[in-house]
Amino acid sequence: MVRIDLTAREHVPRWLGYATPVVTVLLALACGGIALLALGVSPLAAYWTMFGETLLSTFGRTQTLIKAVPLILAGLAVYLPLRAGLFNIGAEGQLVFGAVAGAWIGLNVNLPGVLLLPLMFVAAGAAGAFLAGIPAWLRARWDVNEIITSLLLTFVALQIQSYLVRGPMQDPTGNFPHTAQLSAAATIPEAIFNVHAGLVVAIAAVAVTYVGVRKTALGFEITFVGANDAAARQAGMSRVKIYLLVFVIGGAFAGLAGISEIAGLQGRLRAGFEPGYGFTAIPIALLGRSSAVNVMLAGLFFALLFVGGSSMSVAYGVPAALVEILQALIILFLITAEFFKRYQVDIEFDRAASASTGGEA
Amino acid sequence: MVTFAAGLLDATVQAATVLILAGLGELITERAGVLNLGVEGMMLTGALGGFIATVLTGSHWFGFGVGIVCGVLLAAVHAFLCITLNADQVISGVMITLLGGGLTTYFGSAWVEESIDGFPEVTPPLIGEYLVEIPLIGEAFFRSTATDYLALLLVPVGWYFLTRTNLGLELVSIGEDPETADTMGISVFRLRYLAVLIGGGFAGAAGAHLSLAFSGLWVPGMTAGRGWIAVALVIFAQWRPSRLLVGAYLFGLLDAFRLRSQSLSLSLEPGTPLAGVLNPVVDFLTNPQIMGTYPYLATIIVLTYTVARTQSDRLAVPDALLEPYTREID
Amino acid sequence: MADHAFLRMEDIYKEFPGVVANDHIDLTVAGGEIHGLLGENGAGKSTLMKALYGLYTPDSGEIYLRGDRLELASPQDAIDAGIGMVHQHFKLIPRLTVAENVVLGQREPAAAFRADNGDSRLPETIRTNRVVQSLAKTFSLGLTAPEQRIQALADQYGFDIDVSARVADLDVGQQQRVEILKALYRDVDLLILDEPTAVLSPTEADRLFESLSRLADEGLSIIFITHKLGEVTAIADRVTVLREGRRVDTVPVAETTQADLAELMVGREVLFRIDKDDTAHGDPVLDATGIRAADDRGINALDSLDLTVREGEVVGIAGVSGNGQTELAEALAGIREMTGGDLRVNSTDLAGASPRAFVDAGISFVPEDRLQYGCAEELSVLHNAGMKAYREGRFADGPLLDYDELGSYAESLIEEFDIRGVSDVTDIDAGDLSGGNLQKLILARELDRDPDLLIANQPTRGVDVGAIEFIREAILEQREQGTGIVLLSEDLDEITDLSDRILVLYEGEFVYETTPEAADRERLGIEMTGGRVDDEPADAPEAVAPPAGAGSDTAEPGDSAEATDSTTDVAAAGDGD
Repeated sequence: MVRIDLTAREHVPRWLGYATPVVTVLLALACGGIALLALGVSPLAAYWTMFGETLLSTFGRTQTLIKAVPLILAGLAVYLPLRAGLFNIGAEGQLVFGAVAGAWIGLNVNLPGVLLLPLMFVAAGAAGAFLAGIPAWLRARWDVNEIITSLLLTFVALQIQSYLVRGPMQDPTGNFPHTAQLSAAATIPEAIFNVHAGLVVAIAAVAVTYVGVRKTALGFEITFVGANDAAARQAGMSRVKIYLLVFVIGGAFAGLAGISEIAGLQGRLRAGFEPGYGFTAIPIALLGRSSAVNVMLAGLFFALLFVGGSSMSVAYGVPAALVEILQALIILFLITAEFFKRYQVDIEFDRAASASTGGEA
Repeated sequence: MVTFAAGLLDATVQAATVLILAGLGELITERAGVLNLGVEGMMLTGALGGFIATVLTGSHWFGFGVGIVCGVLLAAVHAFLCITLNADQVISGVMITLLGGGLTTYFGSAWVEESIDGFPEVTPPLIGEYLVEIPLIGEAFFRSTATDYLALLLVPVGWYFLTRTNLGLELVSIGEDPETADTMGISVFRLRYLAVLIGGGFAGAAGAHLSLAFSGLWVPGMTAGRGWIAVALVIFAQWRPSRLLVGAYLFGLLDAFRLRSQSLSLSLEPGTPLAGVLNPVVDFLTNPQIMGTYPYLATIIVLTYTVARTQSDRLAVPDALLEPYTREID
Repeated sequence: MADHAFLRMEDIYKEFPGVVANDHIDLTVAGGEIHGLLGENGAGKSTLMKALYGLYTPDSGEIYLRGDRLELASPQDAIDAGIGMVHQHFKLIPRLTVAENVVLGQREPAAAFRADNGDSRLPETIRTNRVVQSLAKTFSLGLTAPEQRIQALADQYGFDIDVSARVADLDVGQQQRVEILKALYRDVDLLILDEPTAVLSPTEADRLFESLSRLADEGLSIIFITHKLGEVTAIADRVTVLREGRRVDTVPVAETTQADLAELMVGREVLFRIDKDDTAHGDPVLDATGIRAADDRGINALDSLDLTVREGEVVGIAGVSGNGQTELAEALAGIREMTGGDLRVNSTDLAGASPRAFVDAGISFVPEDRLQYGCAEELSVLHNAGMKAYREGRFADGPLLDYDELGSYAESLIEEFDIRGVSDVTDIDAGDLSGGNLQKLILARELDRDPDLLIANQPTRGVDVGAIEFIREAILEQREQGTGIVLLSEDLDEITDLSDRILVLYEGEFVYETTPEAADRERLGIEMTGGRVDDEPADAPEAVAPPAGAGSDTAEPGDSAEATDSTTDVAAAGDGD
């Protein structure tokens, strides 16, 4: 007879905290390997193409960095509220809203690039912040569950974007669901590593977030509210203020992610342009939940996953959806690991025939 | 105009079936206190699984059964994570959707070329031939696939289950106050598992309906967000099966209408007063994408309204929804 | 009352980490007897009854009902054995009706399928078939017969209830009766009630007692847990007094007085004799009038209290947990909304102000539940030390927070308050500290702010002996520095040692005031439990002694400095809600 004993851990060993992300990823890759085998592809060869070859080629590295920009920013959009104990599941919608607002500015405002681009970014951030503010406000004012509202608003945002690129913002020269190409002034120039300046924005955002959370009084409050909001309130910290702030800033980051993708890479706003960055941001934030720098690393890793995944898919004729599967598996193993961090599991094989485990004498 | 309306109703009924099936399942799951955001993923696996099974065996009902099983399997993962491991229900649900989407796109690519004859449209036995003759609604309601009828039948069954059976009573109680239910000798864990698995089965059925009755095809991502609408629908219906039915038809109507609105000229003649103002407004409001936001906006409004009202009306929301339950052992 | 015991609990022992909740307790109850279980918070009453109801398994000891040994692994086992429990926090589902709540878990099948239904159209052979019964119980729901039965029971005992009403629409007294009906419906022979009058008005309490008497007359055995002397003398036949996990005595109510019971409950030991200087008290720091507040359930917990505290004065508030202490402490600290009254600290009006305003007004708070309100377990000692200090100018480094400075600050607190177990203020989490050290950390942080007003709620609960002494000295030191202190404690020794003035809080009111010199432990005990000062056995349930605390003549504020083994008040480990 097998008996499984669960004892709540009093103290989470440090090594477990570090090992978790690594083991999680490895397990996910292993399971993904099974899916590859199912289609007759050697996992090792496929993963080599995905990771090794991508990292070894300049093109691959550049592409990875480019892909990382919206992922890092979106990851921050989920990370910051998570720090305060909240779940920003609407990052996707905030991202889209930001892209729309920024693109609108880029298409309709005539200013030299040096002024136009910052304006676009500001508009994008504001739009994302606004969309995030709605669920935050509904929660603060009427205690409406912010998870559901931010999720639903995501779909609203997606629909609105779809409407705009087929209507008011549509490129007049054709009948396609996209806007006109952004002018040179509205395009983010290349900055470092052959990547557009959006990367600089992303790195700056990481730095600001890191410093903000780790080294300011506000960050102290955010951390405290996330750890124990009842004690934080007793200490005089304003829970409502913190909740609103992290959601709004998170929304702004997501908006920046949106516009950097459009103005830095895609060049125009298309229908359905984002392959779920807002949802990918969730495992990114979970992997990197201990610090903004870790979020950046996780974002880079996922960017590698996407870029490598698509080249692997081409090389081996395997659907790129494998990447989606890997994403899901990473989340799956992460939340399973949460359980093992909290409880120590002892499995005993009981030789005794009868199973009575009376507590009484 | 009449043909437009009839065609509209027909499309409404078809669109509603998916929502009813997925929505009922989600309703039962949420009434037990578990939020399942993986409906979309479960529907996709049901759609693909059912499709493959039907292509291989030629039997619709077998395929439908397989679709249900696929939904249940995916739901089992969600149940294990949320109920046994007490993981965050939201994260687990989103993960399931990603997983279902990824798996079906990945493994389903080989099946995209196939097509089958879906469930035939039939009329109810005996009285069917007469009912079909009813003007306007006859064809829409009484010439449908077996799964359409099944969905309609399941609504009163679902209502009866929740309100008139002991199992349903217990299920509702664990969604309100699992601690109390536990004290009364009810197995919270087991019932929650049951509710989640039922939800998964329904979602799988909804997906199978899509590929086996609605279209006869498999296309990656063919659920097109209907799973999310179903989640919204449950909230919109304030967790009541009767309202779910109405809501499903409402949302289904919206869906059918927005796809057809272009062909319908709703603008006023230029000469009529206020035409200049009203026409663009109406155009905007009947734009397909804008109409696509209505179910979500309506749900947000209903949810805010439900939650913001006084104590007695807050009874609509299952009290223990989203809270993991652990028995406090010594 | 029969001679043989209907219920016999023998040698029950139950331990929790750090505390022995039940220390070899024996309990016997006869059939048709109303048995009171009396004791302070943490005495072990709840734990003992939870063992009887199958919620806990004792580490050792046996339970016999009608001479048969019981193995109770779950509440269901207890119900099957005929034991029912009416919880202090009702286990009801507001959305469902009375009948549905009572019937929940019983799986009553629909009328047609009831085995005993002669009117059913189903032939008996089908009805009584096992498979059919099983299916009917799962997939049908019969409320007609149950509703009739419940109504009959209600009428029999004088409960005024509409069985088809939604529980959400009932008032508290009615809801409690539904709880009782749940047990009666299941044909229990023994009914346990946990602090039943905690939520009832005096009139409702009287009605409850009437019902209980009737039930006992019909042969039902009743155990009810309470800390109120008045109740015990009102309706109990016998009473068992518990103290610190042990059974002190069991006496027939007719043969004892409230004074005796009080003495049994609180005991007479003196722990420490701390020398207190006579400090001159200054201006009032806290001036509160007419304070009203509600508890978490919305029921009024504080009934128009007036409280004044001067500089350098310690006001000790004695009382058994559950009489409004938590609500009072939280209202004074600003984290619980007052439903009425004025609150001034140093002439700053704080009624309705945010917690932040309270903190800024120079109020420090040591909460009763340190893990819930006092600290963030997962965060480091540094974070917790700086929980309120972080805003101060000395920790600002431009726009940034000077963590190094905070670290030094934390270290200085550790040093000053002798907090053990902290090798590194950034590495060790608050949750890693022992109870005593964590409490010292919290106290250190709160005292170091040099507050004008300190609210300390059960500051030495769950703390080891060494730390207890330290904490009490620290409080006295703060007193000398001119801080006004409100000390709420269940530990009478603590109250008498540290206070300049003593107030007794009972059911949301200050019922008695005295000074340590004039205080008589017995009197305090009686006041704390709502008893009458000069009472005869049995009679009216409650009495309120006039607040003017002219103490009794036999003043004996403890004798020899008997530093016997510690009588640390048992932490609320599983006892009392």
